[in-house]
Amino acid sequence: MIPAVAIDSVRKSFAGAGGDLLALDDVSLDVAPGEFVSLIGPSGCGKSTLLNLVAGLARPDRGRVAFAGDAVSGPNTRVGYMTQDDALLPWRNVLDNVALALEIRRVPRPERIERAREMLRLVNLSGFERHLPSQLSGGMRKRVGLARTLIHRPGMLLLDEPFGALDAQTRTLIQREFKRLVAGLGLGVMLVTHDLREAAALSDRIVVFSARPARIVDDIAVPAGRSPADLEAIERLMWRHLGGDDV
Amino acid sequence: MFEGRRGSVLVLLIQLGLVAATLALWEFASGRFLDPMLVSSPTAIWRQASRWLVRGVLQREALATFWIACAGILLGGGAGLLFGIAVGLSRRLAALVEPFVNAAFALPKVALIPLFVLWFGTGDMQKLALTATTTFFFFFFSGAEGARSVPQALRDALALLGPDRRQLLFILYLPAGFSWFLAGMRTAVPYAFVAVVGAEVVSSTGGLGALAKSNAAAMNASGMFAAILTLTLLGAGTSALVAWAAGRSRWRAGAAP
Amino acid sequence: MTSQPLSADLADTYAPAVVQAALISWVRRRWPPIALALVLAAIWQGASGTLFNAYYLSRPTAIAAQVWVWAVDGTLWRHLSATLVTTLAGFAGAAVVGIAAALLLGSIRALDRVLQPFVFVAYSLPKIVLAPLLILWLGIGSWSAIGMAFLTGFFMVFFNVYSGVRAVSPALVDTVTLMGAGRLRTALTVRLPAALPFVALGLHQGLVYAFHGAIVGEMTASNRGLGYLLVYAASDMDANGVLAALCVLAVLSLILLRLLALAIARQPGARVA
Repeated sequence: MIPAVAIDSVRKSFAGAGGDLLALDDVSLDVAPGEFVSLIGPSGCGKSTLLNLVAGLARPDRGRVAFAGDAVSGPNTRVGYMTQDDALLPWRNVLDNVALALEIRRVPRPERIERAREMLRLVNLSGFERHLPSQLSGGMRKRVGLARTLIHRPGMLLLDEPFGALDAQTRTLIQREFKRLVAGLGLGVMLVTHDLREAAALSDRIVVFSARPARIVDDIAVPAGRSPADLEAIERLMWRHLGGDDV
Repeated sequence: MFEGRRGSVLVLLIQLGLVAATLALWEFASGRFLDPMLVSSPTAIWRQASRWLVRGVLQREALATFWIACAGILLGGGAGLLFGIAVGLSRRLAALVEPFVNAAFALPKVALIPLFVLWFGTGDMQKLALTATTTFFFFFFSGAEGARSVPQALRDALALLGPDRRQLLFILYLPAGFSWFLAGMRTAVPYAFVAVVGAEVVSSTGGLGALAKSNAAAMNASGMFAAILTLTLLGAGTSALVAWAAGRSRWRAGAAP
Repeated sequence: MTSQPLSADLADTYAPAVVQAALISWVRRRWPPIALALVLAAIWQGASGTLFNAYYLSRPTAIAAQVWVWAVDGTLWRHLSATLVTTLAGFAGAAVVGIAAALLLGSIRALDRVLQPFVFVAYSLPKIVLAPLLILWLGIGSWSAIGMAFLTGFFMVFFNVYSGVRAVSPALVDTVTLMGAGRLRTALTVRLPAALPFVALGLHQGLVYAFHGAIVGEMTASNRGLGYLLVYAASDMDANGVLAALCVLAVLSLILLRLLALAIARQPGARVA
């Protein structure tokens, strides 16, 4: 089976103030289609860089990144990407923001309006089509972002701490909705997060990274049953890794 | 102390009271403590203004000042915005060009009036040139700042949808540019008026500034004050209008995405 | 850092080798615009008289010659010093009155809403239109120019300090008031220090605007100063003279701004325009 994402011995460094910063050092990772993988590790260790490589927004210095069998070269239009920033166009209403991907693909207007409405129904935002982003709460804007990301049916979602800017309550609700949606659509996900609980609750698999330069330290499989005991054990394991021995 | 509806009314009353008191004091002092030739009086100013209104003088000069300010904003604004966006998008261009722009900005623009008069003669052209030059800078800074501040996340998210260059321009940069245009407007409008009036005062060519100056030269304090007051209303009114329009618009730059 | 004698520190910082290295790196970083400037100047020199009428834009050599003549016969210094005096005098007045007025009006919370529209109107008024007023009251001469510098400088200082004073945390003020401080003491011990960054910005902008006001005043209502020199040359149809005066003015403006930027940078916590 061709992995959805195949990262092979990649190395990536950036030009920094005092010289080159090595972000990723010989990282290899495979993600199966439909798999929900969380990437956790200390701040600034390079997890976001890895996501950018899969998205095609950056190129590795060494190694290969492949998506669904093809090498990634240039922006990867088959993935959806969400970050902490909503990245909504402030001058467009919700409907036009969601339809953006279809507009770029030159889908005729009636069809994209219909599909946009459908997406909004999916994320429980029917009735807010004409609102501007500034008129919505953080959680609602997140859902609009989600609708916009999903509308062009990407093969996989890349998420970089997408729920970080939300308050704890909204975050829990959105996580639940998100899990439901993603499972329903059978989408693969690569999620970068600091929230260990989030990682344990949502993913099938957790990959733990070391501090910069990032190397994979552990690859934890989350049991499907996800009993409270399982989750606790996993969280303790993650805490141990992040406790400082791996720096 | 000034909360709620009652509070707002109270504030308004106090403001009106202050204005009335100032006018009354002025009227009283003129002729008794202050030389009316130098300070005139509210009634004399009103008389002069009414005379002018009837003859259409005030409207004519106000319109002359106003339309040059508008034309200057559009001209300088358009050029400044385009140039600013280009600089904001290209770091190399910025490094090359920005020192010049900053140096030019340091010079008081009114100092250019004599030069422009020598180049364009006394007339509307030099006023337009000065206004356009003055407003250019505000839109330049606005555009550059705006172009730089398009969140990387927005650019990335859009890049992943695979737009071509034309789509990127129409979907992202032009609409964003419009909101930066509005942002530039708010600072530029007062300065545009300063520029036009400055040119009018220095070169004595039409408009409210020249009117004030010629009346001062003729020792007609009432006329001078009438012109100044009209100008104040015109400038304040325009600024308020722009501020109101920009506030209500969905094209607010930096409106939380 | 060990405590060395100050002179040793300075010697270290400004040792010739260090200064030289700093200069070289400065030039190396900024060479594109410098190169561009030189190229443009060369084109200007060559094209003047050949590609376009030499009258309108003159040429670098002619302008430099004029400045030199002025420097030698004293015109330059006479008018330059007049402008500097006007600017500083106007600014000094603007600073004192501006800060005092802002402190006074800003301390009274109730006045804020009442004064809003008046402040807005005062801000939208092009101060230059008051030039005829100044001529009427003070006649043609230095006082009008100083008056203009004062007016334009005053508004800048006032607005900034006023904003700063209003921005002081009411909680802070209440605390001090509860300790028994009267209005004046509160103003001096809490409002003024808290508003210092705004004061710094206000003085910075105030000086720049006082400078602009001085120039405007000289152009319209005086018989001395660089602004006057500009207008005088123009009335003589001497485009070269106008351009020479503009160059001097431009250099002066740049020096002024650079000095201010340095002064601001040294202030901890100062807000930069």
